Amino acid sequence: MDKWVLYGKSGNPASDIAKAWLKNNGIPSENYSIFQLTREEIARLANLLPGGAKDLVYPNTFSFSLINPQKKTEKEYIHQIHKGELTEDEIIGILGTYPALVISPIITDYKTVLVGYNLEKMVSTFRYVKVKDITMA
Amino acid sequence: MSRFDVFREAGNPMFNDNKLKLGIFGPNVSNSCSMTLANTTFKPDFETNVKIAKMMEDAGYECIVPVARWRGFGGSSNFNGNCMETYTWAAAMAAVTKKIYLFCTSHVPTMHPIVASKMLSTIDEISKGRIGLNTVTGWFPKEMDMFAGKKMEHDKGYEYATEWMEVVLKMWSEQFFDYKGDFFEIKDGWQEPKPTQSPRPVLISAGTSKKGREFSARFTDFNFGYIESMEHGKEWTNYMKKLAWDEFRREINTFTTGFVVCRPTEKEAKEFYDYYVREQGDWEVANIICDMFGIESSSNSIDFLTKARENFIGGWGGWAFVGTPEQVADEMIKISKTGISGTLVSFLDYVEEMPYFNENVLPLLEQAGVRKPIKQEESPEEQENTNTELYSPVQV
Amino acid sequence: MDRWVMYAKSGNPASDIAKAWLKNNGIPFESNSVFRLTRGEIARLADLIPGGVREMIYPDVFSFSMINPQRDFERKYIEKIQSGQLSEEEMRDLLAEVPSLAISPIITNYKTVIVGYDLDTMVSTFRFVKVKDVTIA
Repeated sequence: MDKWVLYGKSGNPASDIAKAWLKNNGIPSENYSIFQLTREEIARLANLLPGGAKDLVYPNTFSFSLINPQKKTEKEYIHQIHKGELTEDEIIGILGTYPALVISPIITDYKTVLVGYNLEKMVSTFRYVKVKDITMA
Repeated sequence: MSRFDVFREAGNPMFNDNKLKLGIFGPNVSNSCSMTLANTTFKPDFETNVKIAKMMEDAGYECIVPVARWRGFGGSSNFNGNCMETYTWAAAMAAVTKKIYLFCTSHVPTMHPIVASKMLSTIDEISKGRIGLNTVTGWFPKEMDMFAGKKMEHDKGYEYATEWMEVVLKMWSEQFFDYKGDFFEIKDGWQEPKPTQSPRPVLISAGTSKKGREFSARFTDFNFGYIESMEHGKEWTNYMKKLAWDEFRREINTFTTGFVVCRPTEKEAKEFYDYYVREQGDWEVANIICDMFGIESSSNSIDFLTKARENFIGGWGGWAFVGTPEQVADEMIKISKTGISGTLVSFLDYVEEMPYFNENVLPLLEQAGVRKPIKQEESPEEQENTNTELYSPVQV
Repeated sequence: MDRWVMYAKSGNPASDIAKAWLKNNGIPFESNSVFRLTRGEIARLADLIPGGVREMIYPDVFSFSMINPQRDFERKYIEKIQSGQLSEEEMRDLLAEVPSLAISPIITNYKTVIVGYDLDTMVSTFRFVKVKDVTIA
């Protein structure tokens, strides 16, 4: 059986809609808060993304603030991360400290990673998903 | 005596004295008729359905029409994805209700007519004559694709449905018959039980195409449809009555559907509409459905596109009854004046919203003379006895 | 007494937080859905904003989609507006037809307009606000 994991942030429309999609389309998922992301987990996800860890991060402070209207400290890192002055390890370190920088939802089976919500991507990713084990010995 | 007289004489609720009959649409499917992610306590489970049916019986509604869905439409709500199959649903509902008329909604390509007719006869026995049949040909391709590509080309679908219905009617009315068509061959057909109700279960269908309307006029008692304006409702009803009489020498009625957002003030009603349709609506599923119906974004104005999608999100494209009890009642009275026999309604949250509608809109419909106040027939004591008899496991 | 009006969208974090801020800081306000924005109201608000109506609208498709993950055909209007092809009047017409393009919350007393949520702006705006009339003749 495939195990799907979703990292979300409550109150983020894209997270809430992706969660609803999985539930209403009958795909079981383990749901965690984005704030439970550890440094190791971030490194594991970053390895699966073509652009590495920065693919996990909001592209600018405006979009970051739409979802995190109350967070200020994190903002300065967004610019730094996308300027390309930091090493992959440094980025992963920052994300480990400030998981709010990570776009949600993150949906993964540790073979592929979806960042954010997109209907077409959901539909094409969830084909032939085994959701219930009925063939036990 | 006409067919409608026979139904009336048999005490069929679909032919009672109420000029505006009321039912609900789709309590057996997730989201019922609203394509939204808004908060609701509604669940398409049996317990909720029984609760709703009891409220309806207490308020004197005529019928419940379930939706038949084999898969959802996609989107994050996966609108209508979770669906209680309608024959088994109706059989169970029949056992725990007493007055309300129930329908099965059947995709004809998914079930053999002998099985369907026998299941209906069985539910007729369980319900003591309160089951009807809503036939659908199957228009949602992804759903019909699951049945080995049984989604037929439109006109062929109706030819198939015609034979299917002919077989059902024979199973209900003949013994030891032969039938040979392009799709079905029945040798020495025979069935017991036959339906107990007189003359037979009420037949309805919702075709709007030429073939669909012909099918309805030829076989059914009610053609179901959406109306775009009161004028359109009148034209459609006249058209159907004329078609059925001219072509098949039979009577037919029409029935429409709508969704209700009824609140003490117009402001509250509109605010709630904003919340569940505009803010929390599943716009992707509305797009999927609009695409299926060929509502193109390139050839229509923004205003038209938004309105079309909002109507789907609000309640499957039905008439919007949004406002105060007076405003909602007023719209319903207008519908009744077009000659349409009644309307199905849907609510985002039946259990939460229906009591307010029943307490505040139904009396206005009674005052206007389009519905009669419900008769208080039985004392609570008697009701309790009947219930015990119905549910007691000792008796089974 | 000042009358404050807010245009909001449920499920948008910034709207929800601004609403909570006003409520918990004892500022009475009238709350409407952004879908209640009329052409007249848009003109009235835009006239109070230095950059005009464009400042009421999401600056890019990415940020629009963060808050409206399921809205599709609206995206092309964001692009059109931001490309500068439209006049102020045309943008106002368009916003009246498609109010989901508006950033929420919009908070106003019809002297000043706040677009989006920012704590410092809230704090500095709501100084010396009269919330209860106790000097009736």
